Amino acid sequence: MQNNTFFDNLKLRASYGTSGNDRITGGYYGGTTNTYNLYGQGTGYNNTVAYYASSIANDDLKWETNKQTNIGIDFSILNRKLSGSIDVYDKTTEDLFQSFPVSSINGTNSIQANIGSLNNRGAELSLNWQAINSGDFSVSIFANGSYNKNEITKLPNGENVDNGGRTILAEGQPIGSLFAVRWAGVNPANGQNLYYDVDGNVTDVYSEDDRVFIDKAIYPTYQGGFGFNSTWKNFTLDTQFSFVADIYRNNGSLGVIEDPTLTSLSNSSTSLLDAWQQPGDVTYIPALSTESIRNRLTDRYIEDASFLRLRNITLGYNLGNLLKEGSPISKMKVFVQAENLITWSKWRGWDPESSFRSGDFFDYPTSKIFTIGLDVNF
Amino acid sequence: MLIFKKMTMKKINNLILVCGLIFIGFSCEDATDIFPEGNLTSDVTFETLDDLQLGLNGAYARYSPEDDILINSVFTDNCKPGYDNGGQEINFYNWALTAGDGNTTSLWNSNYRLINQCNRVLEASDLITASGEAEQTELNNIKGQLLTLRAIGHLTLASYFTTDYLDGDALSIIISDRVPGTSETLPRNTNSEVYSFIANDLNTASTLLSDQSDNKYVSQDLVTGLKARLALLQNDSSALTHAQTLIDAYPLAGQLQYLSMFLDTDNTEVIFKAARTSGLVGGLWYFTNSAGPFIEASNSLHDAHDPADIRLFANINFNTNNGGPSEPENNIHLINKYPGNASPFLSDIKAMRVSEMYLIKAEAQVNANNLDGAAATLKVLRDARLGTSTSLDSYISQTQAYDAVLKERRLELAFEGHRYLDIKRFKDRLNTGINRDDLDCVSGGNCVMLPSDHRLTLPIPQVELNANPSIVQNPGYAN
Repeated sequence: MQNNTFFDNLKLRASYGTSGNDRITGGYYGGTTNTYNLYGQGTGYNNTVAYYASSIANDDLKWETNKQTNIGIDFSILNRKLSGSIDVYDKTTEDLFQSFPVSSINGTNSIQANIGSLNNRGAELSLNWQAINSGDFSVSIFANGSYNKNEITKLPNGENVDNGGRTILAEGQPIGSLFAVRWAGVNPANGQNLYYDVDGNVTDVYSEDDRVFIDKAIYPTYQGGFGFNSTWKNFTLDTQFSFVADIYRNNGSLGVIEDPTLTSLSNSSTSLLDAWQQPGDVTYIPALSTESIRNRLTDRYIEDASFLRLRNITLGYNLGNLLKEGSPISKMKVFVQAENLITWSKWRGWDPESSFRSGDFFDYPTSKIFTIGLDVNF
Repeated sequence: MLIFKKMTMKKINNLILVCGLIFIGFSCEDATDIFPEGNLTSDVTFETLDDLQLGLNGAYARYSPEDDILINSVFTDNCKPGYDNGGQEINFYNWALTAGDGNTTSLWNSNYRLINQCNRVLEASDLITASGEAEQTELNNIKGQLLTLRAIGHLTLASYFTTDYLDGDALSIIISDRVPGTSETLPRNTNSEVYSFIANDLNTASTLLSDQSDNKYVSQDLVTGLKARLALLQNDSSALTHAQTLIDAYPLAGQLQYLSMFLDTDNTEVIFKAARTSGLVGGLWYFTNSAGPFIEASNSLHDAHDPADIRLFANINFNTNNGGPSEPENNIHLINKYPGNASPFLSDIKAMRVSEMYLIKAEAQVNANNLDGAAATLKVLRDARLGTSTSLDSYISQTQAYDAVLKERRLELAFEGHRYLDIKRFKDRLNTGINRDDLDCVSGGNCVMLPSDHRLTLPIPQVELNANPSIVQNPGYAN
């Protein structure tokens, strides 16, 4: 590389490793007691103390094993003005640890079990570019992003694992796949809800047997962020954007305000003004006399929750040059900052951003925060 | 020198090898048998009678008549949406009943949790040897209570999930007589299997239970009452005998005693009640902080009362506490069965009262076509509730007599977890299902459920269908 003038730095990394997952229930060493029948003390009947089963033994538990291959490149070019890294990985998880349904005679509906295998493939990219650096004007731009595709490759007997709810586990599908009866709109003849059955025929009968994979999952394929840091004389302007794409969930809040059985009880959406009224009406809102279907496992309120958000924008002014010589203050800066100022999304709920869950139901939105500040260094 | 050196090396090598093997031996054991220090595994949890008592306390706590109270009120003609309703229980009130229904799932889960807890403590109790007669009596008493609670769990489930009480071959529920393995998936048993399992538990409990008079705990009288209920489901004439035993043992409450009973200050006719120290029962229908009702008593229930009937004032709130008084002229009828005494809406749940035994007796008399006997039995109850001598009914047919029994049960046992099951049991006798007053179903719900409607049997919950390929769903519900 010594004679190469294009790259200032170029590094190739490759690794392969096998490891046990010590965070199977979320935290470190989470599942260590899952092989035991355990009891705990709790409040009993009539102000007494009682023993209850607190853990039901799964004596067949194994390590969840990750096999990961990673290839990466670190580079910098153009006199180190552009630097970054690219990584691609393939990670296979065997003896995948997930909740598995058990009969209620066990006193619970699910236990944690090793139930299959999962594959994750993806790429991560990170870039830093010092675009302008001339005298009292400088701009640097940064971006990072990831792409991840996962697929469940093995389940017990190849059968789906259905713990109830809007997502199920199935071979060949990503984890968190939404499994729903496809809503086919409103019957213009009578204002009733229509659905597609499993073969794609329109029917007015709702049955959970007609659920299909709708190629949407509650985990995103793309995530990342970008922004710039800039200075001009004593001014600074910094921004940071973040985005999540190809992610879906159920909009339960919208379901409530469009629920025809709740019109006399709670606030309703103005979309109900478009409700079906007479034969021939073509509309997406069923007749107000229809039953509530918002809690049915349909895709009617499953929406694209992708978003791009201006996470942070800060305008600052450096007062350093106004300070008198010999002042105990070495640096002083005033700034105004806005967090979560603008969000672009198709999501019709309050806030597309959330932890990864199958549905929103009046969840508290991320707040916008405005800050005016003074930084003083002594 | 060289030889010595070699031998030494060999010895050292051997020593290292031996040490290593010992070490491996120890470390293997350490790695595979990490005993969870300080954790309560099954064998150290239940070592003494006191431990079993703690397990029994847990079984009592798992007993959850709240599920019955909610289902039997909201789903039937005893309720309507309250003026403060913002969607609470509306789907259930509107009879949107599928395998995913939350109330049905809760009923199924909580009764199997009760049964599972009983089975755990019962299995532990088999490993404990009593020393001396006093300990043996205590051990027996604990086992007797566990068997009774297990019978309650099975009897409750069986009442909701079978299509036909009188068909011994019809599918009932899963009998759970031991702590199951997590991979076990059992099919539903038949009615006759379940009935005889419950009867067996109750009979064994009778032989084990000590005599005690605290009606917050299982007693011989409760077992007798459960036998009466079990026999009634099967149209078995022994219902009358068991009911009569309790009628002879407990007086009916007078009018003032009746109101005091629901304030938890009178126990004249209470055979068994579930003590409640937290968990507001009134919260089934009220926002308890504001006393705003999201579910109210129905117009039809209100209108079914004679104005002099003390039950009107136990069922519907005409006092100024808990958001009252009701304003029937403005369609406001506040449920008053769990008014609370020390704190609002916190009441013990009267799970069995002797008045129910009069009603069981009357129903058994109608079954035996003793219509005059049934009329006389109902009169005793009505006289107590109206505080005066009422006229004796005269029935011209069994149907008319059944109708009278059902109406009396509605007034006497409103909001106590019976109405849905009563309609289910009487639907073929009277050829009627649920009939709501027009005023009670204005919010878009249907007013009439035909006796043939599949929803008069609850669906096996989706959570069970997901886990258990051996289970069969009830007719009319999608899997």
